[in-house]
Amino acid sequence: MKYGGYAGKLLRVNLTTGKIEQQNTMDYLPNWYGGRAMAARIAWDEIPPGTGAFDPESPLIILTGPLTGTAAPFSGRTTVSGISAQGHPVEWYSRSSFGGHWGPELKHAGFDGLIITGRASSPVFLKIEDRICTIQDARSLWGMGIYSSQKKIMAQYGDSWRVFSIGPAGENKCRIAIAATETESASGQGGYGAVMGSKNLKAIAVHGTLPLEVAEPDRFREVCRLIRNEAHGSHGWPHTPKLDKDKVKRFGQRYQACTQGCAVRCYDARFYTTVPAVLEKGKVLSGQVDCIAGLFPGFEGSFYNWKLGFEAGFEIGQIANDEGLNHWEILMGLVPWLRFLKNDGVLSKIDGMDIDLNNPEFWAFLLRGISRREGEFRSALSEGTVRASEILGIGEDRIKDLFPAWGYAGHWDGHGDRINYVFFPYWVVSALQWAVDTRDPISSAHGYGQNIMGWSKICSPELGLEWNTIKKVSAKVYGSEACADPESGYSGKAFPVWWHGQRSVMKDSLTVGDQVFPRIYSLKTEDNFARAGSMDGPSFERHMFSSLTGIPWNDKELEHASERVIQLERALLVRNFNRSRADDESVIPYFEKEEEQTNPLIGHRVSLERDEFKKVMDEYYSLRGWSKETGRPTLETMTKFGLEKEAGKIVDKD
Amino acid sequence: MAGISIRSDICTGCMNCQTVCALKKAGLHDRSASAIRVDLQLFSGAHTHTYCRQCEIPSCSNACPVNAISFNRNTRAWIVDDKLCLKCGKCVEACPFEAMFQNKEKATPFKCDLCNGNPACVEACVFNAITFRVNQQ
Repeated sequence: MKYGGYAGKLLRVNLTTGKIEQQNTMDYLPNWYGGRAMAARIAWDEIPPGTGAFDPESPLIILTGPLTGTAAPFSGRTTVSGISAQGHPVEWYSRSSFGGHWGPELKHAGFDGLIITGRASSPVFLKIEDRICTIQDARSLWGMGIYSSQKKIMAQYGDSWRVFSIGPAGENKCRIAIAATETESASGQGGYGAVMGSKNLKAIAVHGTLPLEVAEPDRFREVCRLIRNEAHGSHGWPHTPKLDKDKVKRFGQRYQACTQGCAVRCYDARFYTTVPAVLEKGKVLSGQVDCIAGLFPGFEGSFYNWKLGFEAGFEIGQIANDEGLNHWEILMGLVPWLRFLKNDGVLSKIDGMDIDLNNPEFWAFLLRGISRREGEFRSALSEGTVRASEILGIGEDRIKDLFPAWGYAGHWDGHGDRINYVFFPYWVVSALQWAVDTRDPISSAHGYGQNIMGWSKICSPELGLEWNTIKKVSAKVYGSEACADPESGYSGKAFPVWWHGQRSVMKDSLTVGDQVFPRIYSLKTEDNFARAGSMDGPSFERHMFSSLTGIPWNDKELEHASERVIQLERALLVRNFNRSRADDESVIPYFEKEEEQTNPLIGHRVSLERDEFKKVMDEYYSLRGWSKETGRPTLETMTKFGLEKEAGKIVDKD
Repeated sequence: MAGISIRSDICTGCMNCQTVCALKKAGLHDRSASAIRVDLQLFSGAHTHTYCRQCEIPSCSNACPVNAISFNRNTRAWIVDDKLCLKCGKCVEACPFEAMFQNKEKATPFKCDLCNGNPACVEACVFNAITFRVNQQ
């Protein structure tokens, strides 16, 4: 292998024919340098217009990046791409990703990723070990939860195997089905669990002993050491949360890395060793709670103020994981939607059971019914909340309260997501990120709104930075203080969308964790701009990449390669789905509602102003090199990125 | 004596210790080249660790037929002398902690050498689950 970090081979599996082939990863390097980047190239080449998520020929593309499984901090992630089952109004090309330790294991097994096509005639799983892949009978696993199927495979092959599996939801092609590994690491958004299910693919089990080379071992080790030591607190924020003493004592709470290489104590990533079950009395549960799963018990004083209590909430979260359902959809979309319908007097029962969010029996009835497509209402919900509303003909107005676009519930958007605190003007950036994406864009874009809010005195009263400092530091990255100024209105809001766009590609391609990178703000430097050794914070990813792989790119070259991915993804959307500016603007009405939180410097709630936002959109299209009329990359832009051949498929599309 | 100790109850399973050890010792990512191994227990969270205790009465050294494993007074670690070693593997069999490794038959067994007093695993563990203790007595 010419470059360090890569395992060197890709697996191509056709489940219809049973044919398994190996391809050299080098075929895509260096330009399509891993994960999301490589997936975009494969998708452009191999997904023709008209391909649906459940068509056997639709490829499921599962890829690691060069940093995955190495000593690079926060680097254990794997990306999943392909035609998304959750996408709305159409199933279109999108992506997801997951953490844990599966990706590193795949690389030690000799593969950078898999491209899976076809449909097996009966349930199968893939067994991959040290460059050998075989298709195994999974009939005895079919119907099992994600935990049980992992445990069964690990009991057969060994505890050191890692298994990426679907549950009943994926088997039943629920559009909100996850595929997951361990107890909380899921490819959650996108419905790729359903895509796996449509292929009769229950799981992918991996184990490996092969080494991964490093181009410059001493430099790479030092770069990783410096970056690891520079890391701050939870989410890359300034503060480090403490464990909850009561939960430590009662439930064995402890910190647990949600992905290999994690180097911070997190608010969200906690493992519990001894939680007494409420529904399955007598049973003691263990497992991880990350991110939004912490909301299952209910959160007093918030919009999500149901009262399940910790033990029942934990159990329901584990049930959702085991059944294989998308936590974000359930907690930020589906359940709030049901509660709205109940409070609006539209609905009191579903499939004969009272809607009662304080009753764990109701939650179990709801979730197991969705994953198994039981009852008319829950069967409709298995299509995702947005489609369920259309199928059942109810609650359309409330969908507009909760779902910004593309079939996904709100996320750091200031409107539908009422747990994450972000106010005007920061959600203008979120709105534009939502506008130009194919899914909830925050998966790999926490770097702007979440980062600014987390570093402000509002979310970090003790250690946060003053607004003036945030403005000054951010200007080093964005070129203007207006980009992160809390009183800047619509000024300077296009640039962060452009910049974080390629940074998101970078994170999903290398791969590194989204919550921490890019590193911008710091408590460890005099001017509060993140640095480690001679490296500036925003260069961290590039230094790890170049010293590991030996690909001698500078910051601009890695960013250019990452922007190329955005251009090709956009071209694919234009070619296959006629993506247009009108589609992008379809998010505007959602953001025209009054925001949920108030910027204290403004003193009242704000709504999106359509004309102002369209000017920001114009500015973004201009930065991206897209036509302001059509929203398509121009021939000049495609040529700039070496995509002139591909441009022919979209520039003259009319 | 000196040595590292690990608190399994604090370990987050990040694997940084294992990857960094192999990177430092072998210049690549190879779990079999690491002198510290983490066995993740995904469903119980009770991860286990394999590492050298730098024993006061070392089974590995005692089992060596040619005294190839000796105590380095400067680094406070038991060190395998590649020139003397017969590669017989008796030290591997003798270690009660399974912390002497031999990847291939006829390869020199290797173990934790405490990185000349600055163990890479300790530095990599930002959660302080691994600590390094030096007791000059």
